[in-house]
Amino acid sequence: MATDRPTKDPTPPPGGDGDGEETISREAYVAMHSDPRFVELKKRLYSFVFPMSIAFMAWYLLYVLMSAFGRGFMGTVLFGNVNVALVFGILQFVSTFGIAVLYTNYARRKLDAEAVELRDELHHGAANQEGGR
Amino acid sequence: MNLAQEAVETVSDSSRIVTIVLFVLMIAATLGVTVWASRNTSSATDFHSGGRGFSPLQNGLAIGSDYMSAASFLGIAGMISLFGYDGFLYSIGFLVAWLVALLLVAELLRNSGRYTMGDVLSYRMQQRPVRTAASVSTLVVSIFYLLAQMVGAGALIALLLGIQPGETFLGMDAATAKIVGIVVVGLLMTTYVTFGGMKGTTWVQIIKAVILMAGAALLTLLTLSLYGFNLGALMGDAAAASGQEGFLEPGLRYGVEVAGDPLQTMWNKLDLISLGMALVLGTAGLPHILIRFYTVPDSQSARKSVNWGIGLIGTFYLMTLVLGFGAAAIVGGEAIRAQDGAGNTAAPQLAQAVGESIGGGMAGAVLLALIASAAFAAILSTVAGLVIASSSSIAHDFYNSVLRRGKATGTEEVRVARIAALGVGTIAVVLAVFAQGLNVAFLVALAFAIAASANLPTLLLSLFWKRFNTSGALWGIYGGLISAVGLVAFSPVVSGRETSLIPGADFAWFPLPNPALVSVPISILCAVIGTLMSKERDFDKFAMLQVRALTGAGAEKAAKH
Repeated sequence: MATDRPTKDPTPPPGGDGDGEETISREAYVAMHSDPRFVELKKRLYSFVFPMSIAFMAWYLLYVLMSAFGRGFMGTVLFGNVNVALVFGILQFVSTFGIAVLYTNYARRKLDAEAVELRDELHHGAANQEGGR
Repeated sequence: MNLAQEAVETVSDSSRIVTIVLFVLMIAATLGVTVWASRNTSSATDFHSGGRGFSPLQNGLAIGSDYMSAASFLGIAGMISLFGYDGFLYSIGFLVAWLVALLLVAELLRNSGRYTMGDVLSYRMQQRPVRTAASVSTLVVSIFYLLAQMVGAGALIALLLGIQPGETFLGMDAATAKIVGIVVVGLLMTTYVTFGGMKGTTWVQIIKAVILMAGAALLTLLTLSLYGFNLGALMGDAAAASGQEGFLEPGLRYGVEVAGDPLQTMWNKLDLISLGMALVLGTAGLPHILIRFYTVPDSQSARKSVNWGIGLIGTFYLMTLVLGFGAAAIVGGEAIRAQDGAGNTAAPQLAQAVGESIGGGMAGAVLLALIASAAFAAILSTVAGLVIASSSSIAHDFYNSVLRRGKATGTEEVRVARIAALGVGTIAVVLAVFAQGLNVAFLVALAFAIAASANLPTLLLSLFWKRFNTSGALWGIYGGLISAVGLVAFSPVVSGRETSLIPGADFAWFPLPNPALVSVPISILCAVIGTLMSKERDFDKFAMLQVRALTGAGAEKAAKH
């Protein structure tokens, strides 16, 4: 571990035309990273997006696998000209729309206000430091 | 004699005139928007990110526009009309892919980046090598995608103007018209980007999305009205007209079962899975899609714009399902193949046939012209998005960060980006003229496979893996890039079959036309090995990236005008 070295970064990120960015110190960011409120925010985000990503990938993979190897089942006619393949396909649309709605509601209830609070605190801290100089 | 076929053979002069008038109107409108946008584009934020002032709906329309290229509009409708269900299967991968962008990428990228994909990839890393790699992979993906669109554009313009082989129009035969089409598209896209920057490009895309959605919706409703809004009856007719067993089931185009050859059958099925993987993982690694998230004021707007995008794209593909089956039922596979072997003209042909059966010859001509113009708009806006992604990456990642070590001013960066847009446009035109024989679907699938292999794994590891470092990022990007392109070079796409690029030779030891199934795991493996081989680690930088990405602290703000 003693041989670990930090990233050599002789080049600062490009400045461009500068939008009057607040200068939040490296220390403030690092401190925020272990703040319990940030840890909680991260936990909330991860606990939704990772299981949901695995779920929709598995659901899509099942669809592709059935299309490749489950032709008999996919070809089963349910009624009229509607077969399992068509319903399965339409369900992929439904689940995609559904997950988008679920995530948007979840983010609105559990993530947005908390993220804004922490962001404002960081910006406020930076502004205070500027003022104190 | 099939009525529709007769209609196709007499692509009337009246239709051509309406088509050309609509083309000219659209070009005039988009150039007008470009002139307006150029007056409001001065800073680097204006040029690369359109001032970050677009609303979620506007950006959602532009996202849909970037994505619903001519290849996906005409290509998927055509695939459904000729192969039935498998065209639909293809569109599902394109849609589900947006969940990766929504859940894992869009908001975090908006918060922590500035203009390009390289901003986020290089944040924790040594700037110059990682930005070089990001720029290389952005260019490779964009050029392949651009080639696909331009090659398709040439062929389509010839077809949309109704120039048959052997015929001439304004003194041009079909081959000349294709080249003229490529050059015109090249000139227009370069003009949009060079003068209008991201602002002009975005407005061109918004206009296109509205035209395309309205055109597709109108045609869908008219087609359904012929069947009393009974989709089941339409599908039954399509299956009967196709004369193919299993038209409404998977298996006619992908994962084809070859009788008496279980090995080839297995390869075909694995290729289907590989394609599905490329489609789902590629979207969130396409540079021209990623930079769209920078054009809105904050991460919540980025999320909303992806939602709009998902809604539009999903609705669009459901309409494409009707159009594809409609073309199979009303126009018929034989007439479609006679016009274009890949089925790319199925939607315009359907427009003409539906128009004629509802309102006679003139209605057919007008509806054909309308759909042809929507397809033309689709080509223009997608290529413009690709050119701006390339030129932004050249100017911001390569010129400013690598060559000038981050010391270039915004004005210098914009100047370089404009020159880069000219360069990329010229190269794309020249390559497209020489690449006219290439299969468009192959180029698109390759672009997605490279994006899925080179870009997405590195992007996700960068955002979520604490230990990830410069060496890991470089191994991941180059490993994914080289394995994806390399495997395709040794696949049946390039040699060994009659349909290959080099039909005479056979060095195809890799059996799958789509490399993603192998190249994505290779890329992830390379990224992990590369990371562990280097002692570099900077947990502070990771903490900074995560706090910025999750809270939006220090994120770029919308420009004030």
